[in-house]
Formats: sequence, C-alpha cells, structure tokens
Amino acid sequence: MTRAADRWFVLALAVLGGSYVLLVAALLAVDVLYTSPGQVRAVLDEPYIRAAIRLSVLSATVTTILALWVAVPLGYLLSRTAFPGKAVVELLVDVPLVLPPLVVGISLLVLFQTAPGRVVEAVVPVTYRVPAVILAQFAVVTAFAVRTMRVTFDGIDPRAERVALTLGCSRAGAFRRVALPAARRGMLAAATLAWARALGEFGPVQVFAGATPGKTVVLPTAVFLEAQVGRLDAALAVSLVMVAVAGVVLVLTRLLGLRAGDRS
Amino acid sequence: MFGNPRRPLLAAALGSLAALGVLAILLYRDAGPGLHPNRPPLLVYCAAALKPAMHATAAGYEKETGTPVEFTFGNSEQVLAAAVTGRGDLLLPADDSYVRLAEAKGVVAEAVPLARMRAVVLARPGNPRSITRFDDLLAPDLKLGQANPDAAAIGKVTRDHLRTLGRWDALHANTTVYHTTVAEAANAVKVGSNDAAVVWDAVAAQYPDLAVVRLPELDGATARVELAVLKSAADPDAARRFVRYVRAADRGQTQFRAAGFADLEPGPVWDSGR
Repeated sequence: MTRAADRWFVLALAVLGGSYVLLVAALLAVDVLYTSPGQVRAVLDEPYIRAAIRLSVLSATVTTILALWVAVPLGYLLSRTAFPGKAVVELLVDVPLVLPPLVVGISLLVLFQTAPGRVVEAVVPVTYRVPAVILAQFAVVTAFAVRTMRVTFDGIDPRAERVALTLGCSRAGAFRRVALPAARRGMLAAATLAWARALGEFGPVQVFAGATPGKTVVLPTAVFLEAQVGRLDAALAVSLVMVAVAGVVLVLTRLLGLRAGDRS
Repeated sequence: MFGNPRRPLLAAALGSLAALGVLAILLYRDAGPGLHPNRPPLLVYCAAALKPAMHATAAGYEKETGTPVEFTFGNSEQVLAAAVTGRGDLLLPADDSYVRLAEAKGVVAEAVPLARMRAVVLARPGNPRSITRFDDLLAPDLKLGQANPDAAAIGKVTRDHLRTLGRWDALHANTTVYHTTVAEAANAVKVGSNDAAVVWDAVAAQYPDLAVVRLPELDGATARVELAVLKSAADPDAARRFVRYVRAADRGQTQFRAAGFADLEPGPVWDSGR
C-alpha cells in the first residue's frame, strides 16, 4: 500500500514536472522541423551572423564577470548585514526583474542623453556601440546574479564565520576563507544564470545598442531582423545556433565547475 | 579547519580580471573597422522591413564606389529615436510620417521620395478562405490580424482611410488580433495563426508562398517611403551621392522593384561622375 502510494506520488511529480520538460522539448522540435540543416549552414555563412555569434559570446562573458564582481559582495552584504535603507536597496536591486526589458533600454538611452551621460559619452562612446550591448545586458542580468548570491549566502550557516572570527580571523578573512569557498556552487549558478540571460537579452540591447550588422547585432537581434523580413526559417535557424552555442558553453561550465568543486 | 582557500580564490579573482582585459581588447578590435576595414562607412538608420532592398542596394554601391554603407535596423520608432541622437548620415523609416517627425525635431537636412506602398490583404497559401471582396474580411469565423494603428504606419493609414469610407468600425470589430508591427501580422499568416492580415504590398512580396488580394476599398490606403539626409551627416555630399544611387532607375530602383515595391518614384539613371 505504502509502496503503491509512493509510486503514485513519484508519478504525480513526474507528470507535473514533465509537462514543462515536454513543452521545452516541443518548442525545440518545431524549431528543428521548421528549418533545415541547409538553412543553418546558410545563416552560418552570413558574415553578420558570424559576427553576432562572436559578439554574443564575448559580451555575455564580459557581462557575467562584471555581474559576479557586483553580485557577490552585494549578495553578501544583503544577507549578512543590516543597514539603514536596506529595504530600499533590496527594492532597487529587484527593479530590473520586474521592469519590461524595453523600458530598461529606453531608460539607458535617456540616461546617456542627460548631462552626466554626455560627459561619459565624450570620454567613452557608449550609445549604439559595443559598450551599450554590455551595459544593457549588465543592467538586467546583475539583478538575477545578486538574487542568486543573496539566496546562496542566506543558505550558508553564519556560525562558521563567527567561529572564524573567534579564532582571530578578521571580517574580511572570514568572508574570504569561509563564506566564499562555501558559496562556490552558488557563484557557479549565478554565473551560469547571468551568462544565459545575457546571451538571450534582446529588448534593452536593441534599443540602447541598435542593430548595426557586424558591430552591435547580437544573436537575438539577428533573429528579430530575419523575422522582420518574413524569413522565419532563417530566424529559427539562428535560434538553433544560439541554443547550440549556449548548450556547449553551459555544459562546459558545469563540467569545469563540478570538477573544481570535487577538488576543493 | 579552513584549509588554504586563499590562493584559488585569489587566482580566480585575478583570472577574471585578466579575462576581462583580454575580452575588452577583442571587443575593441571588433568595434573598430567592423565589417568594413577600408573606408569610413555611411550610417543609415533603416526600418527593418526595408532591409532586403537596402542591403542589396548598399552592396552594389560599395562595389561601384568603394564607399561602404552600414545600417542600424529597427522599427520606425526606433530608427527615428536613433536619428535624433545627433549621429548618423541617413534615415529611412517605413513611411514618411516619421520623416515629418524627424523634420519637426530639426534633424533632417533634406528628404527625397523613393516609393509608394499600398495596403493589401495577405492570405494563407491558395487563399483557402476565398477572400475576394471587402465583405469577406467581415466573416465571423475569419481570423484577421492587423498592425496596431497606434504603433505601426499600416494600421494608422488603413484606419484613417477606411474611416473616410465608413468601413473601419466593421473591420475593427472583426479583427481578431492587433500586432505591434506589420511583419508580425504577416508572420502570423505565414505560420497559420491567422487566416489573413492587412499589410503593405511591399511587405507581402516578401512572402511569395502566400496569397495577396488587392481590394478597391484599400487602394487609397497608401504611404510614401522617403530617404532623409540627416544634418548630423559627417560628409553631406557623400550622403547625397548615396541618395542619388538609391533613386537611380538603373541602380537602387532595380533592387526596390525586386524586393516588391511596385510603385516607384521616377528617378534618373545613375551618373557616377556627379
């Protein structure tokens, strides 16, 4: 009776969870069926698509590193400390999660037309250039990375850090020697999430960086451009290229991360 | 108790900074000459729907003159927003109302008409719903898509024209869905989500497998495509030369005709010496 109940329980979990897995599999299947290997080869032959692949991978990687440099300290601060205005900071960090992506792009565009923005532009041209791609991605994906790191540090028992303090460690030492090593898997999760989000970011990138082939067109923008002229098969072929690139990088990251985790 | 995690973490931190440096150099190199390493290109803010005609025209222009042309694509609102930032050489939105807006903002030096587009009905392959008259669009079970009149030129022009004929309210009532762009409306017919959509004839030409129906009621729903030289053009003479190439009967107009533009403004033949 108990075993039968257990089987039904597992079956119910599988049905509920499996429905989503099936949906994603179906999406990929129709993408594959709607296009063809020849179409994928054809889009890979286009110089602007090859440039988009390169820019997508490079910019997503830069964005991820920058996001981690912000998310780890901010997530730790939000998890371990209390300070005036903390609720406001938490709210601000979450704003990019709820704002429509298009609004983030328009806001960045307007920001760089203000007096301080023009000063920055005079030193480093940003709008409609590669830095705009990175800044647009960074503005959105850092919120996800911060949230992931905050949850990671929340899940690490602070007593180990307190023990380190009683044994003579400084606060920075406890962070470096106890909290950070314990948060390694969380950092990997945050990096993976940030990279994947950055690769797929479209709205703010298109508005703030434009869609200049060979310069600021990233893979999601290329999908948009192909769909705008009715080339849905080409758009889906580019989408499949994006899935393949993301798949390779994420699997490699996971393997390298697990190996590093095993060594520690 | 705590092992010696300092070195791996320090290495990771330093490694990430080194990686940032290397990636920044790679991106800086990419951002320099782009796809055109030889000469400074003309920058055109171009509606995405006009990409096929303009891409082919620009390729011919670069081949003949050596001057590369780069594009920033988007919908008409986006290319207009880009044009008013004070950079770029030319602006080509999907219809002339955006050129008028750019003129009002004081960024246009001059604008020349290229072509005229007309609203048509795009239907599933073989026109299985037998749409031949305007009243066929009012069939209760027809899935009809339109571009939003407040967001896309085709929607606005169709609404304004049909209002003068007293036919808009009926079409509006039978419209299943409004899309944000004319391309989305056409794509919905292509994938079978809708039976029909009202689109520009030049857009319909990009869907050769679908049926195109011209209705007398829509014949007056037209828009003009205009190419504007921006005041921010780094070399106004070079920008005007490209405009002449796009307008030339034996150059740009050939590409526009191939891309489905049937109603072109008369243009002279190309004179490379001017």
